[in-house]
Amino acid sequence: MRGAAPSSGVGLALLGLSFLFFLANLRALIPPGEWIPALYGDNLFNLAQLTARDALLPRLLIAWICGAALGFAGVIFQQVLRNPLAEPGTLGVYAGAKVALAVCLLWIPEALEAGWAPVAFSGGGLAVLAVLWLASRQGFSPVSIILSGLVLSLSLGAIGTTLILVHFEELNALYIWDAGSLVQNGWDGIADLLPMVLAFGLAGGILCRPLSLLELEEESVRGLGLSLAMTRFAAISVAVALCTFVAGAVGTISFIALAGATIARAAGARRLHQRLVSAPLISAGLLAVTDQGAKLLFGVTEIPAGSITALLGVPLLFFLLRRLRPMSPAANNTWTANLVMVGTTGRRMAVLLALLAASLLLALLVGHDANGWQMAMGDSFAALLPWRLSRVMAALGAGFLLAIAGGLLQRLTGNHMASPELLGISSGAALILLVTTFFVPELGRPAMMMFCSLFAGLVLMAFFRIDRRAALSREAMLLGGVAIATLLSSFLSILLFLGDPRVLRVLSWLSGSTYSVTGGEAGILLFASLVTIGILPFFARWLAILPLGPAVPMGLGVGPETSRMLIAAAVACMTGMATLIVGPLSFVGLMAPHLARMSGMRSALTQTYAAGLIGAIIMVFADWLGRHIAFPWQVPAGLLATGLGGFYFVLLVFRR
Amino acid sequence: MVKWNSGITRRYFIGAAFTCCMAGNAAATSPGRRLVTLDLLPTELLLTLGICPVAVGNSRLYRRLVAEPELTPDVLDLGPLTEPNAELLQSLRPDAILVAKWQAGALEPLKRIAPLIPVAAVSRDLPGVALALQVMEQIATLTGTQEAARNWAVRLEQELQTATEQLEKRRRRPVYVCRFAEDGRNVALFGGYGLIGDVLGRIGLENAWTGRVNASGVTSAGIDSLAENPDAHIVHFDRGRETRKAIERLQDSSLWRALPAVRAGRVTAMPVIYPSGGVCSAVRLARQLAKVIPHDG
Repeated sequence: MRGAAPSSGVGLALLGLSFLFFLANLRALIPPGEWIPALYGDNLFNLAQLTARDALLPRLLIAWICGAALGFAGVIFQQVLRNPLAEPGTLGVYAGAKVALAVCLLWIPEALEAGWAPVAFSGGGLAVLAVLWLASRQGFSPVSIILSGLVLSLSLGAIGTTLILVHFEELNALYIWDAGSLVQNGWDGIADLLPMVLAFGLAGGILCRPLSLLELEEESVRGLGLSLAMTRFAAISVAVALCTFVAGAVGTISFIALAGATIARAAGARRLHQRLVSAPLISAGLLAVTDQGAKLLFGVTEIPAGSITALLGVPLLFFLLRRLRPMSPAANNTWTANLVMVGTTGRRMAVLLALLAASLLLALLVGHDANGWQMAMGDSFAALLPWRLSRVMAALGAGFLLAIAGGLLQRLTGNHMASPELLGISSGAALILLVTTFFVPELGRPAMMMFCSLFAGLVLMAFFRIDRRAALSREAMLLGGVAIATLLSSFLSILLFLGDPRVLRVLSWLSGSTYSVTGGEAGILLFASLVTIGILPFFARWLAILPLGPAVPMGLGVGPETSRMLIAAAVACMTGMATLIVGPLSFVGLMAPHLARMSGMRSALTQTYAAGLIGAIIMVFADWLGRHIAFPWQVPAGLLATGLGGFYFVLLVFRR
Repeated sequence: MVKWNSGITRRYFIGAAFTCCMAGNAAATSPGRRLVTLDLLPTELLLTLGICPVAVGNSRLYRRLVAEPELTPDVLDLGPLTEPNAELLQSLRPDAILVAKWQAGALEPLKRIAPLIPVAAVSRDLPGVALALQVMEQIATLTGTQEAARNWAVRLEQELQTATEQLEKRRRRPVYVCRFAEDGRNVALFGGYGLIGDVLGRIGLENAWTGRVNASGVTSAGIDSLAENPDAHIVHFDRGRETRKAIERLQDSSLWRALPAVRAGRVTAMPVIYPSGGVCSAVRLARQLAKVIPHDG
């Protein structure tokens, strides 16, 4: 049992701390002399005592229950999927639940009569099934699971955000839910949740033995006569049920499952049964400390716990990044599928350019007005051009830059899943924007672009620094990115919860709308794109050499650090500028380089150029589609690109 | 315990709405200016002054949140408040575009279509009623409807006075004005200097919620916050299914059942009032409050 003691100790310490915070909150409510009578008496007329018994105490207990359930589910997810990143957030559980709830709230309210948990369970379960099904077609490698999970989460998230943008008012119940508040006003919540958690916890406990055998090689497990598929399926169902019942009862609590499982492992719990005990303790303590601490700090102004957990979780995860070792030999996921594209590199480039021209014509000429579809010609074209040109050009530039940045990052890190979106670079840039929107007098977009690029650069530097010290595994790289993206979304959900009117503007900006781009700003992006085209050939040699390891560039007289830093600076600038136009989650930086590789381009340089063209095509088309799909309402290009990206991803997996 | 559909019906306001719409139709046929409003407050105030805009931002949200004065079905929708459709707007050839100050920065490019007229839809310095009057005056000067504005200002004062007098005869308990979230756990509380907090003060009612609110005068809290003032009366917005669900869930809560207001049946629903609304909203709110605060107890 060595290892269990220290990790459970961490959990118990956190639980103790949360209890201390609870006592402090209790003392603020009623004097210690009344504590016992408040618990046992049925003093229906003393409101302070009633509040203590029926609001504060259940709130502590529900935090413990929810935290424990999430921690338990987190361990199961990680064990079954052999993946240190697995948690409800990264597997698409919450995104699926959110979309299902939004759809039910808007169109089938009867489905919610029995409470939110069943709907959350169906949505979350379907999402995980989809993720696993996608992953199964790629041999269930850990990377493929996380990639599928993230892609699906982002696509579903895009759908959810679109619904919130269009139905901001009707869905206010949903963003209260999304913020994850643990507020209680009776014991009903616990009475509903506890039996479920206990039942599924027990089921998980029974699965412990077969699950721990998953650590062995598959062959030997088969030799033991276990049905691998059944065990996995049962375990995943248990974990999904635990998270979605928690989500149905209190809302989205992200990061707690991941944090519990990760800390338990880091604190020395190696075996499954050790982790199944200590992770729930840690998660429970962490969630309750967060919630009670927030109540202690902010008093009557409620800050929902689910939004704050990320704030606690992020620094912790960054700290843990360095200690994290790959759980399994990284599966080599090289995306070998080929699109049917014949001919030479030159002809392939010509095809891409023709496609870009076609999408530009579509975006500039075809539109909708009060009377229906119109082809803009002559005068009407001249009148509409000022509105369309800057948007289309901005979309083109942003798509191009993001795709190139993604391509460069993938080369630089040797990680096919690296992209400004998934490494958290664009989320980092978005964070600084969120801060400036609220605390600095309004800045022009060019000034914001500089801020963004600077911050993107800082995130990237920090990333390389950690990477150099610890030689990050792929999972760890993405873990950092997920942490930053979660930080951003938790800030957003706090703002939504507090109902600040400025949040609508931030929301529509973060969703990647080209709406308010001016001609000058589009010009800056186009100029940056041209500069990028010009400087790429200088990077070509480095890009070809860098993935080979540090020794080779040294021999060629190029300091590996200098070349890395130059490319990183370029990536930061491109990401910063593009993020300001299409938001932090557009996916283009991930998708376009893959497509370019699959299109059969051979050299590093042509692949990067092709990625840029593909990114531009995707963004221009997404922008046009977004302007017309819900006319006169508009769906931001970034959101649509995310949705298209998800669709493309499914198609891709299917073809293989 | 909670009275459903507490006696205030739409018909109660038909008078006010009718005058608005009549005036609106008259203005639309006169060679007046073609105006467009992109925020709910200017939309409400413009309609209040008897002018129908050609198009408005998010008409569905207006109908849901503000409702009166009524927006006729022929008014075009321009899409979201943050991103009204510029191409459609241009094709309408408006003479002026009324926007809220918080939108003005982001929507600046629209000045190529017509002059943008920013109005202060939210203010940290000016109480809600004064703000609504100020913005109404601004819009009246623009549209040459100063007389209508003066009438409305007088009428507002009268309505506030009437409500105050009606309430003076009753025991004026502090009031929580709130909206219950569907989950039956959270409640949005209105207060501060927003329209709702301000109207409460103007008709001599004490706001039971004294905590912090945001710029629009609203905050979110747990049900236990309603226990802080045991004397209070709870008035909440009836948002249909959502509210029905919330009340159903609340009735299972021991804490809710123990709230003095709930035990004494001092919980009343009333139609939705837009918390950053204008003069019409203020009048409706004053009337509704005067109606729902009981004579006894």
